[in-house]
Amino acid sequence: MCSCVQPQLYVVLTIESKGGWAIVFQQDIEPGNLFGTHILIRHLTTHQILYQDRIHPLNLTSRGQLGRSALNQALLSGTRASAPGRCIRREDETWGDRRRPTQHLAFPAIAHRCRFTLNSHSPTMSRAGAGHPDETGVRDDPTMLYVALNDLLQMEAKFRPRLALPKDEQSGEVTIGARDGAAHVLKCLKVWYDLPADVLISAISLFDRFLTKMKVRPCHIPCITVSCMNIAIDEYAEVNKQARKVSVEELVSVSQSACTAGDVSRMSRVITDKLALLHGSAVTALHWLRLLRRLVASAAQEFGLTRPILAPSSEENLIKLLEIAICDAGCVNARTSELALVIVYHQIEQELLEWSRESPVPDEAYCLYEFAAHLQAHCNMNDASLLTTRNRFRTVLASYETRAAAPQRQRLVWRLSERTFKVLRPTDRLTSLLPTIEEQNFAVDATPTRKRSGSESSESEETSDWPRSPVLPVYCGN
Amino acid sequence: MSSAPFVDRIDPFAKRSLKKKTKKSQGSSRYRNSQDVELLALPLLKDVPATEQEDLFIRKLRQCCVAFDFMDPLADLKGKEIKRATLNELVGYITVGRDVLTEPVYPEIIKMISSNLFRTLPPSDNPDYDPEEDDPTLEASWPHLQLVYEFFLRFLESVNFQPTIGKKVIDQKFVLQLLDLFDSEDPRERDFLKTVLHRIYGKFLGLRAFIRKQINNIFLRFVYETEHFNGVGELLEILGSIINGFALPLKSEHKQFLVKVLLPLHKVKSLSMYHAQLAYCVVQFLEKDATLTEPVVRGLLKFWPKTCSQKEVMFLGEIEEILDVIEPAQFIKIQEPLFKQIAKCVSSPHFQVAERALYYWNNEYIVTLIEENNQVIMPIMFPALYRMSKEHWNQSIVTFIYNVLKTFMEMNSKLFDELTASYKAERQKEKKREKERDELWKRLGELQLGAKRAK
Repeated sequence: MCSCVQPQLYVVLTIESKGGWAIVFQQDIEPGNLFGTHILIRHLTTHQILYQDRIHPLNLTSRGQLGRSALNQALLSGTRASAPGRCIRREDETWGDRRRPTQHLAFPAIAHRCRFTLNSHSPTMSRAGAGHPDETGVRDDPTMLYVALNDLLQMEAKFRPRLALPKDEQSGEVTIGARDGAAHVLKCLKVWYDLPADVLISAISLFDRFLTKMKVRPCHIPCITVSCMNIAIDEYAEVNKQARKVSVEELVSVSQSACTAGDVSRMSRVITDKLALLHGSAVTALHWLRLLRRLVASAAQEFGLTRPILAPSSEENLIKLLEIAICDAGCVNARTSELALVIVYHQIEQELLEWSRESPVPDEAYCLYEFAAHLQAHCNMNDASLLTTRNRFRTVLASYETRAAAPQRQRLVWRLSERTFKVLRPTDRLTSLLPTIEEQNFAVDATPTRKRSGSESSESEETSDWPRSPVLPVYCGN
Repeated sequence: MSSAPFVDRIDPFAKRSLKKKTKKSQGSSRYRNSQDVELLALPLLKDVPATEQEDLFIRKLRQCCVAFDFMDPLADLKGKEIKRATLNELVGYITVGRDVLTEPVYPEIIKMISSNLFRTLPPSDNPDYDPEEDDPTLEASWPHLQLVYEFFLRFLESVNFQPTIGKKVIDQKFVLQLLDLFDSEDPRERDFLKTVLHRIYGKFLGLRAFIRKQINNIFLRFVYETEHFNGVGELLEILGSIINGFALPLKSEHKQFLVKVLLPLHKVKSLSMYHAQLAYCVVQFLEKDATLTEPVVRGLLKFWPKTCSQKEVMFLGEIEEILDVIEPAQFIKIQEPLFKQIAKCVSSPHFQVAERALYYWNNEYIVTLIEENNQVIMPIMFPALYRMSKEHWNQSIVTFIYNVLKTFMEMNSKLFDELTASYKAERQKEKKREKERDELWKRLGELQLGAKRAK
């Protein structure tokens, strides 16, 4: 029936179907092939391809329109073009272990199960099974989400740090350890002042971008760290139209940065200038994370899963994972979208695993992995870099899970009050010590010991006056 | 008729007797001799031939048995000077003299010492004498006493001193009287007594058990009956040198002493007078036998001061000294109860207590121990630290708390995050419960109003 060509990675999604024909969106995912996006019109049962075209992956709305118009045209004209069938074999190594047992997925099987409508206004919109509304009872509009996605994609490169820090101290450069130490200081400040995650992630992003742009001296790191936190707090206050709760002076004194509030204000201005920041416009991994969560949650609803995957309550855990990731320099240079996708899918894996412990997971759930590949393609993430990011994330997470101590420890300042400093240890006040008197020791002029047979000669003249009571205190191990 | 000044007999506070009360003289200065005895100025020992020296020595010793009244600074100046000079001479005589300590001399020496030293100690001039605050009343006859003590010490430390002869005159009765003198208010006297008793303990093996027992009695009486004794510090110093010399394995008698006597000494109000010596003794015990750590720490926790913050600071200092020398295996046994107490100290509104407790995290060795056992310790400390970070009034304490939390975060990030999350969740639950309770009361109030109106 079909000649098996060399297996290639791809994802197939049905966009719409009408009259036995389906508009299929097929993405070739080969290393380096970012633009293998085809739109096909294929018959559901005979697999005949009516129409096939290569389209630009970013041009999402046009894809739908193009497909639909082609479908309508084809149906009207009634022509059947013949095109060589392609043997479709999926080998997807990218997304985890919980794949369905059959690697070879027949196209019709996919067509029925995975349906993802891009255009909610279409009258022929159909969904398999009832979708599960999310907890707020509001369903995200997928189109709007995709619009947001595209916006973020465009801005991503501008806000991507590229740190190239040495591991060891050489010629006065900031090391990876110093960067991680600064990230930990920011995290501690966030916990201390009960700040939202946005502030922390924004602050770390500022820090990394500043270090990417400027070569700084290690002695300035504390001041830069606090300044980034300062800017992040300001941004957050502005975006949310709230007054900031933490003053610069408080930040400086608590973090022990050995600089003044004035230094921090000045440094904040320097950083703002150098990074040419516009108000609150930085795109961080957190924005990606939130958006991707909504996209995937919406897709999960579309697939008709009975259990909500990536409900809004999962956001907390996602943010926690992100915080763990960015505190380690290993994940910093990744594209924020890749990192976010990696984290989102890690969470999905965990949720599916939990689900599988309670009841069998329906096959539809695994469509989420296909959806992931779709997102990956949409965002032009190549496999190699995605895999690298995923491995780095897993390494960081594994090290976190082992509850290991951080390799670097901040030197903290302990300023004691006068009164306490005067007597720290009671024996500090000892002015004299008498020479030791050895037990069982004979003084210089003592009488020589009498020879006894078979008994100790020590303390021959001493009598123990403590009554040898049978009742001994509990703790004296005797 | 003498015009006596009017004495109001109705007013109970009026002076009943207008005669000025003469101060009762100190026991050491009480002049008992019924007849005035002029001290004869005897020739110097160096001026007599060697054969006569022993006799002269004894005569001089007997001369020095006469007591003089030092309360009256002008009384009998000549006699006092003769005695002083004689004592001085005798000190020099036994220091440089060779073979001057002959057998007959021993009892004479002891007689002289006894007659000068052994006296009933007067009650304190200041009836509310607080050893921590007030200056002590010094011994009036110190010019003579000092020389007697000096002489005694040289006697005991002399190379010619023979304990076999000495033990006939330095017996239990003598030692008992010596021990009573430790209650003297004069610190110079106690210092001499300390050294003297130390030498006696070292040289007379037969007296060691007795001395230990009597010291225990003194301490137990001090802790459980009187809470008054001026010489606790000096006795502890002697005990320190004894403990240092204990042979291993430690005898159970010594372990009992630690638990039954040394630990309860921590209870007394005037602990600050002798805490340094006491802590030294305790730490020495632990260096001898590490298995005593658990009873010691549990004992200290049992006696932990609840109302006296100064004492709490002292206890914290002692605990740090114990932790400095603790073995990791022993630490594990006491970490839970200890850190529960430390968490309470950190929450104390007294800033010095909180400060001293938090300062433990500046001690590298303690931080290492905490790190090895952070799964146990962090959950105990965390709630107190987190709460105090928001509530404590003292800024420098808040900085210390930050330091400790940062250290914890670096030790075990995951546990730190878990504890933060669970603490926050607990707070949410609590707030919810409080809100529900308020709602319930409000509803009940409304119900009641409704019922009233219905009537």
